[in-house]
Amino acid sequence: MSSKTLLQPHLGFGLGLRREHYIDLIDGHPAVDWLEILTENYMVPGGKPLYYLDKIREHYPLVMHGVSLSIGSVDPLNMDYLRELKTLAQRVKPKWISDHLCWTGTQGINLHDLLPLPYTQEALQHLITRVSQVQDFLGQRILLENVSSYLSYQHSTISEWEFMRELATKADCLILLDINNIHVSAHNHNFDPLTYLDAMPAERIQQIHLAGHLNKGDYSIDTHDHEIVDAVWSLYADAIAKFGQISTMIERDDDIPQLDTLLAELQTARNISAQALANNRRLQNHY
Amino acid sequence: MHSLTLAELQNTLQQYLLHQQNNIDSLTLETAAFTRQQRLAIYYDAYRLRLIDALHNDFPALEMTLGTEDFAQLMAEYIAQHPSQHPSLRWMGGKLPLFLRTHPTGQQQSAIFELAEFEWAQIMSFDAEDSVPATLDDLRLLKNTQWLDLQLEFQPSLQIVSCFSNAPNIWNAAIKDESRIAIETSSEEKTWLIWRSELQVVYRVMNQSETWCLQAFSNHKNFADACEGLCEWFPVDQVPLKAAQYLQQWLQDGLIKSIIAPPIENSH
Ligand SMILES: [Fe+2]
Repeated sequence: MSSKTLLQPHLGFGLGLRREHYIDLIDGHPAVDWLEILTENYMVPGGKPLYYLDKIREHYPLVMHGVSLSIGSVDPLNMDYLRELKTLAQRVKPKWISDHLCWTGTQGINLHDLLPLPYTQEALQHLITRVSQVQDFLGQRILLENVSSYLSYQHSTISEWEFMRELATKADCLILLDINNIHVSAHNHNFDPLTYLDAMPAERIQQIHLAGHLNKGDYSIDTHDHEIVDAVWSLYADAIAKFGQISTMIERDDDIPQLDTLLAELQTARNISAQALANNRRLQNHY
Repeated sequence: MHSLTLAELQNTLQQYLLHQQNNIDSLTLETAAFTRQQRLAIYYDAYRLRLIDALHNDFPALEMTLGTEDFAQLMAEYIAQHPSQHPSLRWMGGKLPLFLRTHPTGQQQSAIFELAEFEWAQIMSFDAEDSVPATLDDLRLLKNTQWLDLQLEFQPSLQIVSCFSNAPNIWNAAIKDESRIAIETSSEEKTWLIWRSELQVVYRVMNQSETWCLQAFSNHKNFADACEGLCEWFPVDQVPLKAAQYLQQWLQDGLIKSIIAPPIENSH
């Protein structure tokens, strides 16, 4: 797979589709540019989930975000899962499909957690092969997202950001950059989040996630049940200044507020992005 | 230290998360403020909390009946015996009814596993395959000669649950946030029909003859077989009418997907 521009067209500012907001979205068509669905929630035979999904699809572009691809597992790829994923994609016609840079279990067990990988050459080769297999099967590039992590392995020989860059370049996949996850992991593993941003290949960043987390003092937990904190907004501004305009969405999975609250938070994202782009232009004009 | 392969590493961490087995201190790094033990505990706890939370969402009446703590304890036991093997948490509770049937808690109190069976049936019905129900008009199209061989295909959302307890009433009170209903168990088993009407999961109780008749049709018996069996409850001359009434009721409920009738014989 190769083409001049690797990326799909810019979508603007989106939200995660949550069932609490189904009716508001269908009845009111609020100004959200696009929505991200949690893939596995719609891998069901029928009933309400798919009914509402079809309704919402009439008004909003959708992207699919999965949690069970387990791209880093040493188990064989789950072909039943991939077939279901492809079938759902044929129905949803998403602008793109994403999952996480992680593993979720081995020996047929799904731990339903986004577990970090060791960043080694062995893991890198394993993932390059797997990503290529998945992309060949789906007939499109996938996005992989950096996860929040609480542990790192003694075995790692390179950093997570080097691993991500190498994988994206060599497997020819795209990146879903979760700004909050960089912030959380930077706190937990004591690195500079800007180092992470600096290592990212701009031409492969298709999407950005923003979310809230819980700062426990000595470490942070990625909870998605709070509003976005200032440090994450600031890192977001850095990312936009560095990479330019990127389709951005807010993830909220718990303590889900009224849609208006999230729309207001999304407006903040629009403002910060516009500001960062303007500053960037001024800088470029200056030199 | 000996350098683990990716497979060994994943195995080691998974065994720890599942059973707290293996001394895995040497696996991970730590900082002064955030120790190895804390780091591993986050994953260990999150694994259980996430799965228990999924079960809490799927079995609200069971949780209300057991109480939050006992529920969490029992679910932790269940998770240890039946770790997820499915990409979606949607299927996490699939083996719970059977687990509870053989568990001391369920053996002491049948309402416990009957509640789980009833709640699981609701879930299975909720997102079962869509289908357009057959109507009374489809029945009216039948010729007299077709009736005896007639068979039925039911909606994919159809579920049948039998209870000695008042589990369905307990469930109903729990999801409506009404005050808790006491468990009652009778010596007589009641059979409940659960299905989806439009997008809503609905349910009702059936009497013995209707239960028998519906089960006969779902086992591919035809109208003649059904009539024969119904003789146990009704006088022979009333039986065809009774069976036709059930059919009519099921069509009105939207329970039938299609009526399978033999082709009309050509008379020369
Ligand atoms: Fe994310």
